[in-house]
Amino acid sequence: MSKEITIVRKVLEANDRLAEELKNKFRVKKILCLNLMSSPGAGKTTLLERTLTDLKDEFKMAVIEGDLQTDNDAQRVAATGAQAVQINTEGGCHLDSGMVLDALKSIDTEGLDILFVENVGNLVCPAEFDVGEDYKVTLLSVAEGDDKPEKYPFMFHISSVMLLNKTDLLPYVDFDMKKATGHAKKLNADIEIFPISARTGENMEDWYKWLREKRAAKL
Amino acid sequence: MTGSNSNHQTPRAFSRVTHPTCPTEIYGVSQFPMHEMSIVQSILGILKEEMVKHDGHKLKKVVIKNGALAGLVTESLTFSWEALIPGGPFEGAELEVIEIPIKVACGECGEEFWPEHTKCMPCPKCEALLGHTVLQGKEMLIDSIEIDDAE
Repeated sequence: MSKEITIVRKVLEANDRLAEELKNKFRVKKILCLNLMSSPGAGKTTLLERTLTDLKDEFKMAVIEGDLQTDNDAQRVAATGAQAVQINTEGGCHLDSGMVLDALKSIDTEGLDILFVENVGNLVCPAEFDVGEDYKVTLLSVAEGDDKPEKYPFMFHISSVMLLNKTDLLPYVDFDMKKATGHAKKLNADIEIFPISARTGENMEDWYKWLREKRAAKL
Repeated sequence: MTGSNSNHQTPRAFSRVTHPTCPTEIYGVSQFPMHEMSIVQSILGILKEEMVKHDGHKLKKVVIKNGALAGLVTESLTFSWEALIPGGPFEGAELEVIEIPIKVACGECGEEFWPEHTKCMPCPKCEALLGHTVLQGKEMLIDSIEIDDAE
């Protein structure tokens, strides 16, 4: 006999459930968790290297690195003295909560203040999967073009922060700051935008101020 | 096919947005054509649970609700489904995708409307572009299944 059954279940419920589990852990342990996303080469790892070095005496920080292959990024991050765990997705285009839960087992979370999850370089798929983060932070480098918020609207719609990186390259590229920030604001009126250069350290203090505020809010 | 129809239908992927406040050209198709494979894998996981729960013998059909803001391309979902089910327990099952249009309430005046486009949503009453509340269109649901009971 054939019959129709109404189900109404969320396709991503399994990930949502694990993300909730992560959120609870972070709440109890008072850890600020940030999901850092961008295209490949926008400067996520350089941003982390500088942040981890500059705020070393202020916060205890750790990084979960997501990459298709290699542990190059984890090694770079670990060189700053912070804890780093590498996840290789073996071709997978994003991190999900299950992977982050697993990786978290290798991190000493006692007294941890900030956990960065550096997602797989990709402006598309990571947008869809929560990893228990408090905020999504999207990095866009000026070399990529000012039309990226317009082209990848969902990513900028759901992000709390857009870091416009590599501002030291502005004289050499056609990047209209107003256009990029205008589109991002159109997609998400609340998005906070910080133009920075993780390489030279320019304006990094704006980003650190935001980090300090959000970390304090978790206490 | 004879070429009798000279009025080529504009492909959905290149639909122009005509409202004056919107950027001159926006592409109509969702921007997320890459992760439907893992979405279908999540769907298969849920279906396996449901089959056990309802003592199903064979899955005949599954109905998915795909909101305009869910980031899923229906064609890619269908493609991924067809790529993943052969040789498995759901071989031969049909996938139906119901696309749910976006509906919002204006952040300024509260007017409820169906925007023509997911990226630029001027309120028809007060022209406001920002701060709308999404009422419908984020759905990514398994709505129902059709199964055969155990023999």
